[in-house]
Amino acid sequence: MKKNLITLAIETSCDETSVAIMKNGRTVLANVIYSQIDIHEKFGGVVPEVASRNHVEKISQIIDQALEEAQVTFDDIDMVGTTYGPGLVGALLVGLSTAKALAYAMEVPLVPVNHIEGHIFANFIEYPDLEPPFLCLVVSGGHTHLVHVMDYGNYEIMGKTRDDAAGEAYDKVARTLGLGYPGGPKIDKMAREGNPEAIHFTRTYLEKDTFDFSFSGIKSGVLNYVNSARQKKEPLNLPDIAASFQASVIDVLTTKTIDAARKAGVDKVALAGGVAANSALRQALVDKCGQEGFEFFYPSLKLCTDNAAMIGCVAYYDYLSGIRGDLNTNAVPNLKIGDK
Amino acid sequence: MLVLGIDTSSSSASVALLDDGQLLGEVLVNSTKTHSQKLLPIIDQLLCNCDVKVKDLDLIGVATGPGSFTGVRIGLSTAKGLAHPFNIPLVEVSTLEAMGYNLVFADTLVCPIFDARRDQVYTRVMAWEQGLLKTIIADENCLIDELMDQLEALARPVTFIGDGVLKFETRLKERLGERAIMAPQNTRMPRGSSVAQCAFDKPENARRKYDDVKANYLRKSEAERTYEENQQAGQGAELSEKE
Repeated sequence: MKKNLITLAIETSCDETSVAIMKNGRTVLANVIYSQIDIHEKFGGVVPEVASRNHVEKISQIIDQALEEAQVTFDDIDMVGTTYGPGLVGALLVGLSTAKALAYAMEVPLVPVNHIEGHIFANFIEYPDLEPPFLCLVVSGGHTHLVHVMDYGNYEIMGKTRDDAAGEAYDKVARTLGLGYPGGPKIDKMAREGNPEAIHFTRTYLEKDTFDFSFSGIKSGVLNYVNSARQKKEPLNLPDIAASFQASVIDVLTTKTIDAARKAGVDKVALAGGVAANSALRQALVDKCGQEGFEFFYPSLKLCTDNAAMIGCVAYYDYLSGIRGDLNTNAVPNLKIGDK
Repeated sequence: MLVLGIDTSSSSASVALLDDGQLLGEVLVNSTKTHSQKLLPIIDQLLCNCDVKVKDLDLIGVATGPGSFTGVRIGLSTAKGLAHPFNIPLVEVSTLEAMGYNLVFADTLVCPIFDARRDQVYTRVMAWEQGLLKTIIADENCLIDELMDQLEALARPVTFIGDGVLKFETRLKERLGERAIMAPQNTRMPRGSSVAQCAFDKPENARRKYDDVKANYLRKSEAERTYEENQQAGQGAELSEKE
């Protein structure tokens, strides 16, 4: 029996074209990420059709780059892992169609992977000794989830957003403040100059005992504050607004995360998703987990953004549990965690 | 020389295998399933029936559009994925040009029309002359009225194919009279065999590496067009301020 399993993994669910080569589950041999962020900036957000066009133009070059970096050839590849949802359907279809064709041509198994599970698994790459169970807060432009990771492939969604994802609220507030796209890093940076207690935006915790989120109220609070100040021709202190908005989002996220971890009965907490790159959120969770006695894990910046290494990691564990795609496998834009 | 032809630029998916110009097999599925669900299964069906492996292929011809943006990308991504591990050369084939092969040696002009919405079509005008397919009007995205103006000026009988026939038949007949001929239904859809033949007939310098093929959308995305219009009108700044 061959000792190591080599996975070629593809991720194209939004505006990053990424290809990784993984050795077994957790060793990254290459993780090439081509970000289209500059292309979408002038539109103020990701344009699905533009993203799809760029994926199909770039994908083959990114595959070659990954193979070269990893110093492997197609002969070394044991399986192909690919994101099939959730995400933008046109974008997903480029990576999925390429992956299906590659796997078919090379006669190796295809493993379709859930993108959100990928974000969670970025932690397994970052921490080779991390094992389930743990509680994971997944925050990105499109998702806000509290997931109890009971085992590889066994998840319970304890809470999720009922309206805007945390990242969406960031983008909208950034636009209102004239900071441009993408909002997360820009607000995070500006907030460092501001006072998080300058303005109190109402925190939305919803009903007692729910782990669901709602960020539309906080977002509206900021928009109303800005509009009313503009009407009264009062000067706006943008760093204070950014810091106060960020503090309100982070308060809700950290409080619910700790409560959920306690309810799940775990002693480990992990952070995942694009918004996991947010420095204030990381620090808040480091502090809070420290105070409350939870061990805290979070991926390095490169593994927070959309990348194929995390997809390859899920593919490996899914492969071990017998999950395979076939010639019919289709993209599922609203795929839920745990759905197979 | 084994040539695989792929077309997914309209609602039908079609693939065919040629051996030195001889058709070994062809599959066409015009069901409501997505291309993502039907393309690889029909490729597998075709290759299995012909006892051919992907690595045996010498050339892959792929229809690069114009047509459905997503459909074109599924075909292109699949072709690139199949070609990549074995460095099989790819040939970009215009969907519209390949359709000229649906009506080989027609004695009229051949005009495929695809419905591009808002009264527009993707189209091309071709003619068979002494066994060769000549281009009279290159691929274009225009209003159906503009196409009819051009065809009227050419003053020759035209046979129409493509999914636009269903939508524009009446108007074409009204405008062009007896010069407008609607081809039988079975010749109206893009075919893998036409793409494969077209790819086989192209000169060697038309062969591309897997990372050097591009879609032939003929049209920018909605967002790009709006952005450019705003820029031209000098409203770019104004609009972003309003938001």
